[in-house]
Amino acid sequence: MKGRILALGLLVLAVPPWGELAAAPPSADTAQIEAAARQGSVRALLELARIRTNLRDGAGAVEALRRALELAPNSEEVLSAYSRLSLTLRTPVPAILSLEPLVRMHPTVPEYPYLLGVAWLQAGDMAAAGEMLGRAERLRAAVATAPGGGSPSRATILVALGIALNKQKRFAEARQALEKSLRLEPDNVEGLAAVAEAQEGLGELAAAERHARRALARADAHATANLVVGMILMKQERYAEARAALEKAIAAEPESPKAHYQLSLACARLGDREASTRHVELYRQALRDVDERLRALRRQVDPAEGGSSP
Amino acid sequence: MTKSVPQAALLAIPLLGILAAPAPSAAVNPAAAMQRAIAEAEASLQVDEVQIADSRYRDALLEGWLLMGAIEVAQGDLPAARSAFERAAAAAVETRRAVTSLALVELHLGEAAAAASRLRELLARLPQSVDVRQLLAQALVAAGLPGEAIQELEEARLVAPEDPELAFTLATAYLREDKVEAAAALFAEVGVARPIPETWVLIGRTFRDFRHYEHARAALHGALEMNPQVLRAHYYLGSLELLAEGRANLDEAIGHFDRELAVAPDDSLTHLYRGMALVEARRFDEAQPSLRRASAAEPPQADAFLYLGRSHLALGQTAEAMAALRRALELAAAAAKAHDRQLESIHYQLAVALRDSGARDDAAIHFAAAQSYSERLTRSDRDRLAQYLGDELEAPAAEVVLPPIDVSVLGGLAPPRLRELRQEVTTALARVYHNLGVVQVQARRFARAADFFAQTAEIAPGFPQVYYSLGVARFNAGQHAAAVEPLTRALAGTPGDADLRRMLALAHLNAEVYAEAAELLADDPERAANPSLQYAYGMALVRSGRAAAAQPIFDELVARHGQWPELHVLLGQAHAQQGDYPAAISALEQALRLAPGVAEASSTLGGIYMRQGKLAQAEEALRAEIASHPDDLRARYHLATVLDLNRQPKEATDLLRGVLEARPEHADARYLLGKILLAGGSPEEAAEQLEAAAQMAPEDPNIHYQLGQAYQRLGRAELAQRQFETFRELKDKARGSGP
Repeated sequence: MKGRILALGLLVLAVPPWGELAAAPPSADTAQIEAAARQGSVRALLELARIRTNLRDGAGAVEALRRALELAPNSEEVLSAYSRLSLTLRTPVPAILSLEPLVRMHPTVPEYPYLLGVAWLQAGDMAAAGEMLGRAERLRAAVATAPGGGSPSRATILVALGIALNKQKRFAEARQALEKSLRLEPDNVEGLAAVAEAQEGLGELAAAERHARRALARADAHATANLVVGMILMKQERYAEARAALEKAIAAEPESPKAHYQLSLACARLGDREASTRHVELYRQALRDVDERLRALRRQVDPAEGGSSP
Repeated sequence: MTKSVPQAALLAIPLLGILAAPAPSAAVNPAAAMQRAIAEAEASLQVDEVQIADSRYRDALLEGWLLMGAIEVAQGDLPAARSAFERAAAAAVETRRAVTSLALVELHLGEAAAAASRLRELLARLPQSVDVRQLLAQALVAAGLPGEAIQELEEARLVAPEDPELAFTLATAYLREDKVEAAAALFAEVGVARPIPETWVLIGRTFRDFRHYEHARAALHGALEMNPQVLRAHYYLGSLELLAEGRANLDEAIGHFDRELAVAPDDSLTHLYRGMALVEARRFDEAQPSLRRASAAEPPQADAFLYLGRSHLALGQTAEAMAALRRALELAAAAAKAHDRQLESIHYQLAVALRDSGARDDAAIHFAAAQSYSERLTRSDRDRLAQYLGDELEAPAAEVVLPPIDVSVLGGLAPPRLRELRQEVTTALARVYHNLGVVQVQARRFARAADFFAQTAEIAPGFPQVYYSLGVARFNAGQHAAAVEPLTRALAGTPGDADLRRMLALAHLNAEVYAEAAELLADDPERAANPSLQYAYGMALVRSGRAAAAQPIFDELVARHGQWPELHVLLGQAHAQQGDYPAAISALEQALRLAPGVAEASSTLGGIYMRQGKLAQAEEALRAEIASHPDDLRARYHLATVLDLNRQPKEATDLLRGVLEARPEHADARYLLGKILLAGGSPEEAAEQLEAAAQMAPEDPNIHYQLGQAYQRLGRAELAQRQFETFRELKDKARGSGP
């Protein structure tokens, strides 16, 4: 599917586009839109947010959408725009806070639990992500017709679900979801890399390597695929090759604790104590960072710890 | 051990944020908030502010469903109220009022755990909400978790340390857990925060209810020191004397009741207790005026008539006694919570009255009834009234008495007006859903529009043109099978609507219900002039097995529109159906010449080659179809069949899994997959697939045969035998030799 590609560290998932304009409107039009927005037109505020998004003015776009939310707090279009912009800007908390009501108010639309799942993935809560993506998948499966504009394909949802399950080490379930996604989109790089990770977790090394290499044939810097190949090479005691693969994984995903840990092992096996120690420390730091980030996010998302509405 | 929750103490718990906080105008017009939101939405639509309209319509849904829930509560239909509040909770971003109302309804329906869970979720969103936390505490008490309730209330106190109502609730919870000193300290704080005598009356009553009589007495005397005229202080002190000391302090109790009546001469409850105490003190003449007053009160109470009957009996007024006691029995029998001691007493007194009047047989019946209750009780005359009152206070022991659900937004409307209001709200909600659907239609989001129209139809099936809107939206959303039912209903309302009839025919056609489509199109007046319709009619005829009837239609179409590739495809299908493969192949090849990727031409060719046993050509044709139309499940299924025949099980399996992914109910694909898996040595998975296929197509003998084979491989001989028998029965039936 076409859409803004959102980098989530290890994860690269498609988020339906929001804010794209074919061309920037003339400045006279923009002035009119701004005037209408000042007078409380939500339609104009949405347009203004689109213009600012196009101009890469994220803060300005967010501000316009916040005003729109004040005027039309239940509007699906406004909530949806706000959540997607938040995801694009990698600010999962406001995304989550605007997606939760959308999921509740529009329970038959698979896009919203999908986006909420992606937001939870961004936030680092894999269990919450898995739950939402599972719901999105069930809804998507129930819709016989092809998805409309902006709606994620079933394969996309299944890949995200598989990633969330992998992160929870629920490899068998992850593999099942990812194999389904590959039947629908056999060349999906994210799907290939994620199924490789699941298979590696299940000890199916040959299949894991085959899938990881297929992913690398399409995207040779892919973090997960390189990580999987690195781990398989470690098991084959091919430490130098493993090191190279793991270094690629870290280059694409510097904050991956798993990659640092594996690389520390590879360096140790190769006798490079200094690098090994450095990566052990980076691994610990990455874990601390993840933990701290999650705690900070929880504080913001969960009002029980001081959060607020969008 | 956890104490029971005395009724009076629970009634003292302040009413929490329940239902719509009634705006001043709502007291006059309960639907005002909903109507205002609708008006704002419609005004926004006028100026093309669709997003504001959407938002206001959502507000209207919230207000409307909250109001509907209140109406259902007022009418005593709690399941309907729950449904309304559930819809309110899904209507808008705001959930607080709906969720608290929903939780209250669940509490009243005895679903305390569900209510507590819901309130915990809400509290996670609104951690500063003392009301929600208090309600959660009540739900936890009702769910039998008083310790957790205390924890919640203590947390709430951290948020609102100055809130006297919260302190009162927490103190009551402490009493329930026998933490008397902690409770007393908190009550003292409440007394300081609300330094009025009524506060101490409330505290005294609560202590009394939990049987801490000394604390109760001190609190009530404190109230009287502040104001000797304060209501209810003497009343509670009187009941306290009865409860605490039994008969020995009857005179003291009567004195308190007299003093209470001096400040509140019409208080029927005080009259009742005064009368009861006087009867127990055998001062029957003095008791009667109070008991008459008490028995005239609404709602009538069995006790008032029981004690009035006793006084009459003692004074030799047998006829009056019998009348009063029969009324007492009637009320006690109708009451939800009559207790044994009360029933024993009524039966006994009535038996005595009947015996005195000479009705010995009737008396015997009531003596026997009294005896049966008596055996369950340990009787003690000395403190009978104390025990009696104790039973009254213990009555709620088995069930927690819950805070009432506030329906004040309705302003005490009479039942006929409530019914009218219900109708008004239903109509307004239906209109809102309809308008939200129209907004979606305007944005060309037909599936979403259909969801809204379906809600309109659900709550107001008589809404103008609702089935028309729903059917058209579903049709445009590509939900053809689902469109059939509403379109059929709409057509029944306007049978002369040719456009609607045509849309229904096309819905049938797209849903692959060809016979109905053909029937509807047969008399379509536009068909002759409209080649698309003619084509659709021809297709419906061909696919409903009437290829011969379709032939003249195709001849005419080909004569007029010879360059139309789809027409040649259909013509080819018609020929194939009649077994004329050369003509079919010729028509299909013509279609492909006109448009190389035209849908179904290659797959139909593939099907023909397959039937002719030309597997390589069939495979080539079917692959060509899939290359042009990857979503063509029929082509994928047929290719899997060809591959299976060509001994290429791996690809066939993959294809079939893909087909089943999209259409899990495809029995033929499941059967074929099962058959291939069985042949490939996977009997377990094969059995799973074949079992599912047998459920979907129980009349297909081949499925039962394969399933029998799979069971045999799995060593499940008995099951295998059964499947083979079914296979034989179905085969016999097909041959016409069955029973």
